[in-house]
Amino acid sequence: MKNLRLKAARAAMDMSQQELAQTVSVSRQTINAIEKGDYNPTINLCIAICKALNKTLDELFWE
Amino acid sequence: MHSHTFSFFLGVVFAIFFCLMICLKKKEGKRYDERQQIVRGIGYKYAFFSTILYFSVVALVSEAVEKQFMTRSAEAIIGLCLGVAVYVVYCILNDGYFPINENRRTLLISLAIMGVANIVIAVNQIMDGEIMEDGVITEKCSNVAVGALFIVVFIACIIRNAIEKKEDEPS
Repeated sequence: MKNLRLKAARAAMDMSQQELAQTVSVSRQTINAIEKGDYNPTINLCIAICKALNKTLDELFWE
Repeated sequence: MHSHTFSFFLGVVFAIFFCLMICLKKKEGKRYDERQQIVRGIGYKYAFFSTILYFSVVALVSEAVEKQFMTRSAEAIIGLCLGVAVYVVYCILNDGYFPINENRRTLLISLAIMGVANIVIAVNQIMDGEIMEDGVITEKCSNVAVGALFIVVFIACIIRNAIEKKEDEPS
């Protein structure tokens, strides 16, 4: 399932996939895969993304 | 010293030098993210089973036809190249081969050069009829196998680049 909330939060911060990827130290393709729902990230990466986007886990990853 | 043995020795020295260069570069801090590590693990699995399948098929066919059609060295070289090809192609196509922020251009150029160099040598060997002796493929097929491996990897890189261009976000 696509993670549209992550995409929206990233767009709201005016960040590209590449910029978010660099902030959380992963490849751009990994961010792309998470947004497309092709990859289920570990809790550590979820927390890193939430910190980078100033969001909570519930806001971005909880169904 | 026989010219083929000398070439083989040079090849081994070059391979050791190339591996050392890769190892030294790795110490500079290249790393893979969690998704890439999973992709690499799956790639290893596919390569492992492909190699087992290959050696099983070669053994079965040799038994069935009751004739050796490859020397043991040729069998091993082709099997190794097959395993490496499966692993590298799977990892490249699923973006698990290149570390984060790796400059791919250098690797692509070296792949193309090594592929073409091996293919040129292979074509020469085929034209001179050195690959087969008495209907048996000899270890001199190594240039064909390695050349094919590099060309396949190079094509996989080009396909991956095309996929990434297509996937690129509009922003």
